Amino acid sequence: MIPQTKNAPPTDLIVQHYAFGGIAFLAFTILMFFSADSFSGHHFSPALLTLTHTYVLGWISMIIFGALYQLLPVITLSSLYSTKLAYVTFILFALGTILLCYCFWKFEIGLPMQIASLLLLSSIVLFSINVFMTCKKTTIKKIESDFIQTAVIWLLLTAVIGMLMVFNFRYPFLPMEHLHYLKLHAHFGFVGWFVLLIIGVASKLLPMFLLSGPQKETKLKSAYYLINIRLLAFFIDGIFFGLNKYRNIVYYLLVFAGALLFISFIYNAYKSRARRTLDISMIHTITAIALLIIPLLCGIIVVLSKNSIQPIMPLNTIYATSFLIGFVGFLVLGQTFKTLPFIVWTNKFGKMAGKKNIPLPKDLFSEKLLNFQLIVFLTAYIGLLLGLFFSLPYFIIFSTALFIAAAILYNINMWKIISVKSLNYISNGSMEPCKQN
Amino acid sequence: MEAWNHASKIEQDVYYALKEVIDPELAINIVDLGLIYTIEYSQEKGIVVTMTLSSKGCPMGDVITDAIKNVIAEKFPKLPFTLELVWEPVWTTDMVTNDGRKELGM
Repeated sequence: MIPQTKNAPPTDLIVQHYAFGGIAFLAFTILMFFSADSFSGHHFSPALLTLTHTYVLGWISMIIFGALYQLLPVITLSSLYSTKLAYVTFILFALGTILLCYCFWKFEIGLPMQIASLLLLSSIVLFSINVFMTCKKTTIKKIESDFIQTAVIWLLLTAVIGMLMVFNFRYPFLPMEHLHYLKLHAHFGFVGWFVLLIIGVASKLLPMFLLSGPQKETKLKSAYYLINIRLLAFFIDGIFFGLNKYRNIVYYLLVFAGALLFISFIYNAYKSRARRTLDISMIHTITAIALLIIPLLCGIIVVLSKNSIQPIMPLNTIYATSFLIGFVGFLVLGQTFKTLPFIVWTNKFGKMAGKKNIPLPKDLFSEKLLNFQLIVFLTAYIGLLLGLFFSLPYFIIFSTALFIAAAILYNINMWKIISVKSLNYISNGSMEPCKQN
Repeated sequence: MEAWNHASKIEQDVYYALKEVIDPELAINIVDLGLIYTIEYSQEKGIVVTMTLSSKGCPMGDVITDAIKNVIAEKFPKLPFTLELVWEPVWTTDMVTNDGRKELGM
């Protein structure tokens, strides 16, 4: 027998990641509302840097860290290498994120920002050790595990480049201009960390949630090599030869093909699913994967345009926004309500399973609110893209207000799950809340 | 259900008891999901249930097996019980019963 939940780390470790992530998401939407005009400017502005890092570090990466601590034991069939290390990682990562975002907002490029970058780098090093050592504990070779470990290597590289840029602000020592390293930092973060990680995690979780049965891994393996070849080539060009417009087109086509193979893998799983009726969390997830087409197509226009090395506005902003908010955002919005209820439910009710009147994981949150969240977030997303594309400031402001509404709905539902009370099973079948919890 | 018609009374009771165990993710009982392969009863071994999970490393694996133990302990407190988790044959959607198919919307 393979004891899955017995390998799982403590619930409070995971929950604190989600709690921090929820607050960071709300903070991001409020900051976005008050700096809506920054979308029309250059992406290397204090406001956009703050927004991006609050979003990618505070919300997305924080939730990914928490979810991975739960998922790694499922993939490797062994327990997490070190729980203590995970707690320390959380503290360093949370402090580093708050300090870095504050420094970007105020644009204080001195010691506090340097400390923030070192806190983040050290937390990512500790996180990497935990991931690699956990994967090392098993002899089972799985493509999901390769995706996750490689994504973590790119995350490390992203953090190293980020730290070097922070020090370069005060003590310029990097041989090329700052924007050059920003491109490497963003690409390794977006494609190396997010895309590889999402493919690795989604290829395990989605067929499981859809009840699709075993799927062929050929497409995933091809996607893995295509995307990594592109990242390596981009890295070598960026460090040694300089970025080249024509080679950039070829590199982009590699990642484009990799992404299409991933979409095709998920489509096959979706088609062969036994679970015909999708719950609202899975509708978020499938929407996210469908929306991946938008940044993929935007990317083609960006790389084919004459000024592919120099960013063109607003297409570059639309490209980044549609990737981060459309694809990654929808995915995290949906998967939060697939993973968190299960984690909390297992802790509170797992031992009572098989007895009558036990709520199911889906009963721990309001499906109505989640439906509403989907509509509000989708409307905000479409409004933002239209506002950016046609340069309509009122559309952008209205959309940012809707994002705040979506973040509030997300937080209400998330805190509803986190604060759920376990129940005493009474012999006559009725339930009442525990006095102590 | 036909396959269970020739089972002993205890085996049939176990079958119906297992129908009370719900997969928390899918909200369907594990019998209709096709996870139960065999139910055997003998005086020497007691109750032996052979089952699988919908995927290796299923995060609900422990919860489901614990739930089975809880149900059997409650209904048959005096009988020894063994739960065998197997991966062959691999579970496929063909193993879902007609009732399960209706619930899944297949």
